[in-house]
Amino acid sequence: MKSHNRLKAGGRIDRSKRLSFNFNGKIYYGFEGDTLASAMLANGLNVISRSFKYHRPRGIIGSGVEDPASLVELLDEEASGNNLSTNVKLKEGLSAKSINCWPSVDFDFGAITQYFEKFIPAGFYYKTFKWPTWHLFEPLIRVAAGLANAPKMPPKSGHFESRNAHTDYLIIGAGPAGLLATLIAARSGANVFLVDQNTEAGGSLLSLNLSINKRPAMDWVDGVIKEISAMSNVTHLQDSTAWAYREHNLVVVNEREVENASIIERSWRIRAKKVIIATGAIERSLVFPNNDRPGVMLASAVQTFVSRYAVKPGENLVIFTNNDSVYSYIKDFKRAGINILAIVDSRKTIESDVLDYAADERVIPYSIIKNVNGYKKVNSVVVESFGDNGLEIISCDLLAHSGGWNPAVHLHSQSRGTVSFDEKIAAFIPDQYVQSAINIGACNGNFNLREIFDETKLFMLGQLSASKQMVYEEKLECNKQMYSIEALWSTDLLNEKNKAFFDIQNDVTHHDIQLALREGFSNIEHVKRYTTGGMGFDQGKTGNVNIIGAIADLEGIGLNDVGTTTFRSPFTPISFGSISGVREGAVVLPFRHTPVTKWNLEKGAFMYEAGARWRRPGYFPRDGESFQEAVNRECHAVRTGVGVYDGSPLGKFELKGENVGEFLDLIYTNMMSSLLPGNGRYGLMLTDDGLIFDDGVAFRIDQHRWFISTSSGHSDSVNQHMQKILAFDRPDLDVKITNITNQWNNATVCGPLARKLLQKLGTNIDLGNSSFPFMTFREGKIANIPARVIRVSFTGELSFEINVSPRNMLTLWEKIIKAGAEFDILPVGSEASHVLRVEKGFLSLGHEVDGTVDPYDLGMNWVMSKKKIDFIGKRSVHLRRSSGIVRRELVGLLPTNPDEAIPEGAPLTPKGKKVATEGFTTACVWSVVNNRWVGLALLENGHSRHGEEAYVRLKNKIIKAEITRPVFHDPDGKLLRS
Amino acid sequence: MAYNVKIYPRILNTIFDIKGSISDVRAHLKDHIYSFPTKPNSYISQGDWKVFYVGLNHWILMAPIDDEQELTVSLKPEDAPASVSIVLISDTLTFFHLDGPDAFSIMSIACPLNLNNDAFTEESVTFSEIFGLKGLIFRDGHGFKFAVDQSFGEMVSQYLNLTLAD
Repeated sequence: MKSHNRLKAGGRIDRSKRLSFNFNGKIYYGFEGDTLASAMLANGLNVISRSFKYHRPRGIIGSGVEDPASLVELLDEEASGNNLSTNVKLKEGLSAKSINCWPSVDFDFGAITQYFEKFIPAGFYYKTFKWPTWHLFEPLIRVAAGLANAPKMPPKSGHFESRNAHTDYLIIGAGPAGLLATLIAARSGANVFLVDQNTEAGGSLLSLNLSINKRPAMDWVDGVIKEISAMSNVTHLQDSTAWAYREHNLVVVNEREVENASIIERSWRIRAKKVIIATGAIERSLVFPNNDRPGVMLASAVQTFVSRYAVKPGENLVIFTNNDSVYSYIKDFKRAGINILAIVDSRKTIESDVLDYAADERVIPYSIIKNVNGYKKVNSVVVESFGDNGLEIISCDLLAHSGGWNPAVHLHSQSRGTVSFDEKIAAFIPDQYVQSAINIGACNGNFNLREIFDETKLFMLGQLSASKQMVYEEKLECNKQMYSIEALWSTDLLNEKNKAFFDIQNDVTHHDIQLALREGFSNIEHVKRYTTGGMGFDQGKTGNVNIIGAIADLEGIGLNDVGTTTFRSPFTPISFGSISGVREGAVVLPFRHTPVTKWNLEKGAFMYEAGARWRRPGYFPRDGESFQEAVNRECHAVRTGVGVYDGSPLGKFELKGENVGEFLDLIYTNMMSSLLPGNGRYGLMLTDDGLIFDDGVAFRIDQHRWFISTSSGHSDSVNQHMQKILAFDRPDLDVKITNITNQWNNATVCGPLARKLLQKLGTNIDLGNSSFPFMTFREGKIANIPARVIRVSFTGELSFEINVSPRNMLTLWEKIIKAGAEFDILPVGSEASHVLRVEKGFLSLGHEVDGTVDPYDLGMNWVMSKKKIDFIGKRSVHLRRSSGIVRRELVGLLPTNPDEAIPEGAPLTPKGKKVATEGFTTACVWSVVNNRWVGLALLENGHSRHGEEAYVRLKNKIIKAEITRPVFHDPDGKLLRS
Repeated sequence: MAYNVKIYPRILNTIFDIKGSISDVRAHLKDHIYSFPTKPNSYISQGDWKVFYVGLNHWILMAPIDDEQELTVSLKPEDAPASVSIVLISDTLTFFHLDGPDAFSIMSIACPLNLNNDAFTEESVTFSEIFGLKGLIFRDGHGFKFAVDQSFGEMVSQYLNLTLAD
C-alpha cells in the first residue's frame, strides 16, 4: 500500500532509511524515526484494534503514552503482549497484529456484544459471575482478560538486566524544563541522571514549532544534549521510562535502547538525593457521543503526527476544544495541507489574540460536537450551537479535540505526594510533597515556555551554593504561549443514547458513571472499581479528570471534594523481564550447594530443596527402581550395615564469652552450663509463648567456648533469635556468636558398622564406646583429614558425625564411599533419613513440630529442666498446661492393615465420624525393620490412649490404626549408645 | 562479552572472625596485627593482610590462604581470653574478584548499595546485598571484591555468567 498520508517534506524521520513492517499479515513501509503508530497512519490504516468490552473499532487517538486505544501484540523476535503502537519504535522487519478481535480487526465477531450492551453494564461481572459458581466462568474470563497474548517462548537471544544507581539529581523528562534543570545541575558538578521516555529529547518542543533565542527550539535542545553528552557526571537515558516512584526516593526506570546489543531491556533502580519531575502534561479528551471512532484524535496528537512524523492523519478536519492550545496548531495543519473546516469551541468568549491564530478559519463559539458519524472512520460530525440551538452536520474525516491539559502528576502521586485542583487551568497540580522531589514545568501546571524556563532556573540555582550560581547566566527568549480554559467535563449526556467514553481503554461510558452514582458508589475510589474507569495500563491518563469532573457536576460538589485516586505504577506497560533482570532460569530461586552436591548429581540422586534453600538428595534410585524400593534399600543399609549422609546444612555456631553457659541455659529448656568440655546435650529452644522453636545439640569446647548445631531450616532464625536476645533482652551477657555453618561440613556415618568403617579410614581418635561415648566429641584426624567428630544420632543407630572443612569434604566423602564398599555402604537421602527418624519417634520440624506443640505434647518432659529458675518459654508452658486445656500429644500409629499407608496430614476423628478432628497424622512411612507401615500423630490426650484405636478419616474411606508409643525401633536407645 | 571485566570466581582466603573490645583484641593480637581501622565500615591493609571493621567490636582479618596455618598458630584462637573471640572461618566465605573498566557496572547489577567513589571509597568495606544474598564488599585496585556464603558460590557464579552473557 502506498504511504498516501505521508507529507512530502518535514518531520524528524530519516527518509533515506526505509523500513518494512508487517501488520496483520500485510507488509507496509515506514522510515527510521517513525513509531509503529505514525507508520500505520502514514499507510492509511484506520482501525488498529478492537475495544475491550464492546469490541468497537479503534484507531490511533494519541501520539505517545497517553494513547488509550491502539494496543498491538508484537510478534516474532520482538514478541510481547500489550504494546502501545505509539510507543513502539519502528524497526526493519517489525511484525505486529491487532488485539481483541477474531477473525480480523476489520470483521470481529466479538462486536456482537454491542447488541447485548443493556445486559452488560458497569459492574455486571460482579453481579453475574458468582452463580452458580465463579469457577464456571473463570476459564472464559481468563481468556478475555489481558487482551494480547503473552509470548509463549522467551526471547531467542539476549537477556534482560536490572541494575542500581545512586545520584544527586534524577531528572525525569527531557523537555525544556528537564533539559534546563539538567544543564544547571550538571554544570555545578553534581551527579545527574536524565531520563526521558521519548526516542528523542525535546519533549513538547519536538512537536511544537517554537523558537528559543530566535532560533528553532530544537537547536537549543541539540545544544544542551551536546553539552551534557560530554560531561562524565551526566547519565542520559533516552527512550527510557520512569515507571515507578517508590519510598526513599527510589525511582524505577525501564531503558529500552541499551548500548549492549545483548541486553534486551534494562531496568534501573535509581536512588536520588533529589528527584526533579519534569514529565510535562497530557492532553485530555472531550467526552461526547461516539468520541472513540477512528479518526477522532487528540489535537496534540494530530500536531505531533504532522510536525514530528510528517504524517497527515486526515484531509478534512474539524477541531473541537474548550481551551486555547489548539489554536497554535492551525498554522502547521494548514502547512500540511489539511483543510480546517471548523473550530468548534465550547466557550462563549474567546480572547481576540487567540482568535488571531484562526483569522482565516471558521470558528463556531459556544458550541459542541453533538455526535460523530461513521463506524470505522469518521465521515461527519454533528455540531450543536448553544447560541441558536441549531444543529449542523459537517462532513470530515478527522476530528481533533482537546479537553485541556492535565499535568502528568502520576509519579508525584506514586511518591505519595498530594494534588489539588487548580481552577485556573481546570486540572490537578502537585500540592504537598512527601519525598525529596519537586515538579517543574508543565507537570507543575505551568504551560508557558518562558515561565517554565524562569521557574526552572530559579529553582535549580536555588539548589546550588552561592559560589556555583554562576553556572547558568544565559538568557532564554522564547515565543509567547497562551492558555486559558473553561472546563467541559462532558457534553450534556443525560439522555444520550450513543456511547460517550470517559475511559476509552476500559470502555467506560457516561452511562456507567451515572449507574455507579445511582447505585451509591459516589466515592471516587468506588467509582473507579465499579466502572474500571482509570484502571489498566492507561491509568486514566486522558479520562480520569473528566470522570472526576463529571461526578462533581452530577453530585453538585467541587472537584477537590471528589478527590483523586492514586495513580499506580507502571506509568506505561513494561516487560516483566526487565523487572527480574538476570534473575531467570536456574537462579530464579536461591539455592545452596555443599561440596558433595555435584557428586550426588553424578550418582543420579533425586534432588530437591530441603530447608534454607539447600539442594539435598532425596534418594538415590538405581535403574528400574521405584522411589519406595530406593528408600527401603537405603534404610536397610543403615539398620543392618552402614550408610552415610551429607549433614552439612545443619546450622552451626561457635559461642564464646564469660556467660555462654548462662546464655545457653536461657535459650534451651534443659541445663547446658553444667556440661564438661568435650561433652554435649540435646536440647530444645522454645518461643516466648512456650512452643517448640528448634531442636539441636550444644557441646562445650573449653571453659568459655561452645558450639551448637541447629536444624538446617531454622539456622538463620536461630541466629537472629540469639542475636536479638543479646542485643535487647540480655545485653549484659558476654557472648559472641560466630556462624560456622559453612566452616564445618559433615559426613555422618551411621549404622552398626560405622565404627568399623572409621577404623578402616584411619584415625588417631580412640573410637571405643567408653572413651568416646554418645553425646561427646573429639578432635583429630579421619583419613588423614583434620576433623571434629561428634557422636550424635538422628537415625537411632551408632553414628559418627565427621566434621571437616568444606575444602576437604569431597575428599572425605569419596574416601568414605571407597572404604565403605567392603561394608556395602550406601549414600542416604533425606527420604530414608525421614523413615529412620520416624521409626525412632524423633521429632521433625514441619511435621510433629508445627508451631503448636510444647515439649510435654511430644512426651519430652525430661528436656524441661526443673532445676533452672527460668528459660525462654518456661512460664508460658506452665501457664498453658495449668489451664487444663486438652492437648494434642504425640503417639505412634500402627495401621490395622500393615500394608495400608496413612497419608501424611490425614485427620483423625472420633470413631471416624464426620465431626471435628481430634488430631492428625504427622508422618507415615514404610518401616523396613518392622516390615509394615508405621506412623506418628498428634492426638488429643494421646499419651493416655495407647492401645486404643484411632480412626483416620479420608474422603472415601476410614483407616483404623492402633495407638502406640511413638517409637518402633530400639525403644531403649541401646543402639545409638553402642 | 557484554562487559569489559575479568572475573576471578570462588577464591579461598584465610579469614578470621574477631570479636571483642578493641582494647582486649589489641592486647591479644599486638604482636601480629599492629593497626586496626577505627572508622566503621573501613579497612586497612598490612602487607597482604587486610583488617575489616565490619560492626561494633567486630573485625575480619583476611589474608592469603597460604598464610592460614601460620596465622592460626600465631593468633592462638584457643588461647584468647573470654572477652575475645577469634574463629577461623576461611571456608565460610567464597570470594569473587571483579577487575576491569566495567567492574562497577557488574557491581551495580549485583548490589543495591551506593558504590560511587564518593560514597564507597577505596578504604570502604561493608556487608550488603549481592544478588539478593548477604555479601561482604570492598574495593580492590581498579575493581571490587565481594564474598558470599560459600554454599551460594555456585549460584553467584551462575548469576555472573548470566550477567556477562552475549
